[in-house]
Amino acid sequence: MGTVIRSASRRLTSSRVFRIAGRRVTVGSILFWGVGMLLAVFWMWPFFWMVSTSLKPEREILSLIPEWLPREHTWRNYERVFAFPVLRWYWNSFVVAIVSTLLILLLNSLAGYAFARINFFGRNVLFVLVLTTLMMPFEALVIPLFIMMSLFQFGNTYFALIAPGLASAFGVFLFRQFFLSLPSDLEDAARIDGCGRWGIYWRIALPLAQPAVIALAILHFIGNWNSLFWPLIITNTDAVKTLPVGMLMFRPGFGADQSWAHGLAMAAATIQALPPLIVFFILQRYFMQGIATVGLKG
Amino acid sequence: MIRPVAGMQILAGPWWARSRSGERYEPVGYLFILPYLIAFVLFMVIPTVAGFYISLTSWGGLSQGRFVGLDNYLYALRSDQFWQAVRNTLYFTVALVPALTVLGLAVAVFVHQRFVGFALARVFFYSPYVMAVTVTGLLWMWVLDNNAGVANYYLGELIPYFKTNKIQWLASEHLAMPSIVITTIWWLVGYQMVILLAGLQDIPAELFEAAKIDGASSGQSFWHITLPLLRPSLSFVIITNVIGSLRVFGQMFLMTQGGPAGATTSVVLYIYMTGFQSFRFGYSAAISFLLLVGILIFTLIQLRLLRARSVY
Repeated sequence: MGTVIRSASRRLTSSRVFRIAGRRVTVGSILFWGVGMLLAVFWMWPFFWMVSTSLKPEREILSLIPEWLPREHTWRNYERVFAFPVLRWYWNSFVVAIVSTLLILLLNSLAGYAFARINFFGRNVLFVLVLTTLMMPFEALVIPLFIMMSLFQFGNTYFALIAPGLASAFGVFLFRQFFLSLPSDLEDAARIDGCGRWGIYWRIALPLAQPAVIALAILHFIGNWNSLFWPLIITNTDAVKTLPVGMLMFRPGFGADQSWAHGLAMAAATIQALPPLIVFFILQRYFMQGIATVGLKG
Repeated sequence: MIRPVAGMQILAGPWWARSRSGERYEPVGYLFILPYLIAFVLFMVIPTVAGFYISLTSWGGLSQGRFVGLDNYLYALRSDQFWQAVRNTLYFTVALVPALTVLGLAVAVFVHQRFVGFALARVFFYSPYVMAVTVTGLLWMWVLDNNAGVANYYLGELIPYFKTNKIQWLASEHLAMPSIVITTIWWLVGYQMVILLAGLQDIPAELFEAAKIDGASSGQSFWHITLPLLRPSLSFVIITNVIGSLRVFGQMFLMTQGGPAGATTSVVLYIYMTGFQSFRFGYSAAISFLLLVGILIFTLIQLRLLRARSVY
C-alpha cells in the first residue's frame, strides 16, 4: 500500500512537468501552491467576515443561513459603537503608544550604548543585573506596581500606563548587541574630528543602529497599542482608558444575548483592527524584517 | 585624548577614573545609563522586592494586613483552584506549542518558495498577529457562536448530525480550551512564519543544490538539511511560545472569563481574579512568584534540552 502511494505520488510530483512562463512546473508544485494559497485566503477570511457582519442589520446577522455579503447594509452598528467615547480611547492609546515608544528607544539606546562601548566602574555587574530581569514576566510585578501607583496617586494617569514598560531590559540588550558590532575605528575617527561621547552616540552609533531602532519601534508600538493586562488594571475612567480596555464593553454577554450584540462587537472590532491593518499593509516589509531582526538577535 | 597604553598602570587615580588593570574609565557612562537605571530601579527592582514582601503578608484591598510568612504559598499549594489554573495553563501550552510550531514551519516553507502571490500570502498569514487580543477574541467569539456562528453552520452543512446538535464551542467545559487554542493559532501563526522564514533564508542554497546532485529527494533534503540548520530558529520559536503560553491571559479573560466551571482559568487570569476582583493582594503576589519560578524552571529545562543535541 505504502509503495503504491509513494510511486503514485512520485509520478505526480516528478513526471508531469509543464512549462509556465518559461519555468518548469510540476503537478506537485501546483498542488502545493493551491493548498497553500487556499490556506492563506482562509487565514484572511475572518477579517472579511468581521467587516461583512458589522454592516449587516440584526435579522441578517442572526439568520440561520449566513450570507457572505450583507443584502442591505446599515451603519447602525457603527453608530452604536460611536455612542461610546471610542475616539477618546483611540487618542489615549495613540498618545501612550507614541510616548512610550520614543522614551523606550531613547533610554534603551543610551544604556545599550554605554554598556557596549563605554568603560566605567561597575559596568559588567550592572549589565548582568539588568540581564537577569530579561526573564521577569511582567505579570509577576502587577500587584506591587498597582499598589505603588495607587499609593502615590498615579492611578488613571498616562504616567501609570507608560512608566512600568520603560524598565524592560530587552531593548537594552538588543541595542548593546548592535553597538558591540560597531567598528571602533569609526569612533576613533569621530573623536579625531572633535566628537565627544554624546556626539559619537548621536551622530555615529544611533544612525548606524537604524535596523534595531525600526525593529524595536514597531515591536514596541504594536505591543503597546494592543496591550490589555496592565491598562485593564490601572485605568477605570474613560479619560485614560486605552482602546483594548474600552473594547471590553462590546463583549457579547453570555446567556441573555441582545439581538444586536454581535453586530456591535464586529463594528467595534473593525474600528480597532483597521488602523493597525492599514499601517501594516503599507509598512509590511519593515514589520517582518523587524520581527526577524529582533527574534534572531534576541 | 589619552588612550590606555601598556605601562600606564602605575598612574594613580580615584576608583571611578581607572580600573585596577589601568584602563581608563569614562564616568560619562553613568550619565548614559542613568535614565534607564532610574526606570529600572523604580519599576523593576523595587516592585520585585516589594512584591516578594507583599506575598509574605495578608495584604488586602483596604488593610495592609500582617506578616504571615509563607502562609500564602502554602495556601496556594493546597488550593484546588490554583492547581486547576496550573493544569489549564499546561494544557493550553501542550496543545498550542506543537501545533503552532508545525503549522508555522509549514507556512514558512510555503511562503519561502517563489511563486505567484507569495508576497500576498505572507501578508495574509501575518495580518492576525498585528491585531490586539480584543479584536481576535471578539471575532472568534462570533465565528464560534453556538447558534448563529459560521463554524457551526458549515459544520452542519458538511456533517448533517451537527445541524441539530450544535457544538457548544466556548460554552462547553471540554471544548472551551480547544476553541481558545484554535483562536490563538490563527492569531500567532504569522509570528512563527516570519522567524522561521528568516531562518530558512539564511540556509545557503548551494547545500540544496549539492544534495540534489547527490540524488536526494526534496523530503530528504528537508529532513537532513532544512530541519537541522533551522534548529536555532526553531528553538527560539519554541521557547518564546512556551513562555508566552504560560503567561496567557487575554483570550481567556475576553472569551470565557475563565469558565465554564473554571475550565479555562489560566494562572495569570487567576492572579488577576484573586488580586483585582477579590483584592487578596498578598495571595495574588504569592502566585505571581510561583509563576515566575515556574517560567524560570521551564526555560532552563528547555535551554538544556534544545542545546544538548547540537548538530555540528
